Amino acid sequence: MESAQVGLLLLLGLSLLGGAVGAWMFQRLHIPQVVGYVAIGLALGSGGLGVIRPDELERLHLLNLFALGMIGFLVGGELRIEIFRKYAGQFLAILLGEGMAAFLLVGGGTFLILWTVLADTPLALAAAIVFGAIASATDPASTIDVLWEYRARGILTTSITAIVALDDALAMTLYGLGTGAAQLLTGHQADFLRAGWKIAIEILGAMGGGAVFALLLDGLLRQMRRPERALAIALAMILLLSGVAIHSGMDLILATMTMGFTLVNRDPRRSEEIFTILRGFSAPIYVLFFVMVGARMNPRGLPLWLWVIVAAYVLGRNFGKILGSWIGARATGAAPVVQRYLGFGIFAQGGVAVGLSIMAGHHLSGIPVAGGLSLGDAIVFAVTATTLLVQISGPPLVRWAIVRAGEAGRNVTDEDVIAESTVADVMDREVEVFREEMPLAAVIDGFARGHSDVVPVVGSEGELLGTISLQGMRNILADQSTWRWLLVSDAVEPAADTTRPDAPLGEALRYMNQLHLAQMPVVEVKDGKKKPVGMLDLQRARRRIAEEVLRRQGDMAA
Amino acid sequence: MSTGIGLGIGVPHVRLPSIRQVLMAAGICRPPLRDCESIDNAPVGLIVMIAAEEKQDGDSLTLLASVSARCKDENFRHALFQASTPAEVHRLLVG
Repeated sequence: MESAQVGLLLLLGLSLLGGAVGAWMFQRLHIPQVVGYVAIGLALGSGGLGVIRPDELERLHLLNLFALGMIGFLVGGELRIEIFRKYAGQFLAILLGEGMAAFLLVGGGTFLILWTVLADTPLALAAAIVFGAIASATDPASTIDVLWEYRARGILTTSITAIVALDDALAMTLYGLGTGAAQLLTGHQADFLRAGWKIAIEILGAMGGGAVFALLLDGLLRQMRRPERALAIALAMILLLSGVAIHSGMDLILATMTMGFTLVNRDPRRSEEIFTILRGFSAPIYVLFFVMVGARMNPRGLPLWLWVIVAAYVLGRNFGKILGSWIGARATGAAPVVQRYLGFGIFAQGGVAVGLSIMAGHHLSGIPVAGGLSLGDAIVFAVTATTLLVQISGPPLVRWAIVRAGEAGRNVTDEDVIAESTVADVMDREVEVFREEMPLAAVIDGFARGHSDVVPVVGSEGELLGTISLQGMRNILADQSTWRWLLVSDAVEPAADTTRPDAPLGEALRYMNQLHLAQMPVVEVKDGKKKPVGMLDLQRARRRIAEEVLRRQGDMAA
Repeated sequence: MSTGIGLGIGVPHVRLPSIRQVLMAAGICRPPLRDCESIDNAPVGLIVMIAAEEKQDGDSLTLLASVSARCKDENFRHALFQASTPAEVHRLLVG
């Protein structure tokens, strides 16, 4: 038992390492990192080297559920209610357009193939309806991963996020009705009332549960503000909601997505911090999740007619997504970039489609088709193969769409600029210095002229002796007679804290914040002496960072 | 160092790493010293020496300002110059 657990630990380590290396390699080829995770998973899984066995995947199923819960929560955090209010009609039209077009084209294509192979109209129609319903879903996880990786921002990015967040609900509705119809068509018992009730629980229950958990989480976060505690509370609520959702038959992603959506819109400022922490925490979970997605795929051993279905499914689905979203976007007067590129950004297929195919496999396992395969098996095999194809082709197309729309790299934050900057990028270079033998009267004139409250003091060779500040001189400012005889050296404060022009900006700003320093001299060491070359002023540095963020966003927009 | 602050007063002061707490010593010169540099060129009769640690810039500056402010009072200066014992000088400066 213990050796099996150690094996699992080794497997997790190998998957994380392989996924990270694969992502790095693919990124160098300008292919989204998620493709690297999936490719490594495919290489390690039963479709490749067989390092990750199906029974081990089964034991890691809990991790997948947790990852899906996290993904849902983080995707929900991307959605702002004001965007929905503004674009509700547009999103609904695009959603129905792309979902229904994919449903109809995949359904139509698979019907023709199955009807030719099986010569059984009801059976072909039943299978086609289920294939069509599954085809309408889009995978939010890999799509959002690409949007985050390329720091996308803009109306196309917002529309893609909204559509991938919402179309699971459409897919589940179509699936629920589709499987009911399939069972009815094939002579198996079907209860539309029961199917309707199940859909209501899945969708409305998930949304209600997510909203209630968001309120609980918000209440707890108000009480516990320390970041590590907030992280623990948020993770606990995601796990609890995931458990409740799975236990009650609600849709897991929709539930956690609603929790993220409710939280971010109820308290945007406070929740921003928890979403930032969770995004950092989620990175290795994402890697594992997608490696496992790849490992689960085994395209070997499928009959030829299923490969034809796979081809028809992929073509019909992709064309349906492009055509349907174009029709929806055009009908509602969406921005030209949305009309042109949205369809290309919603190809990815993942958890929901695979989940629905497994459910179909369970529901429709008693309906034989051909070659010893049941309708359920055929759906599971075909959806797995199509998932592999679109997981590899989908993310590069999301990247292509956002690059073409000019939205890649626009989601620049202060943290990005800080991480890429050195102290020299934001320091004040034109800094007045005072010599130690100057009378304070001249210094006070200097302060009145200048715009800095702290000025470096230098010795005879230009070496830094310390700083002088208006704050430090507050006790003598009222007594002007002292200004005539006191010197700079009488009021100099030792500059224990200095930084270098080539120091990472983030490090310098963190240090200043910890010590509550408003300014810090920037020095270069020459002949063992520190010579001031600038001043790092916290307030002005923040302003320059904000200007740089706006400049980069503007450049990208232009 | 700035020392002769005028009105017959000299305030030699220094900040050194070896000092533990701010120190002050006072001396009265009779007759006043004539070869001292001073902003009003007046002979220096009262010398107040202040020593502080390098980082005690705030304390040392406050003490300098306080000595300067008190010595601006002519009656105070007169009483100091007339003091006959160290205890009396201490009482006038610190009390």
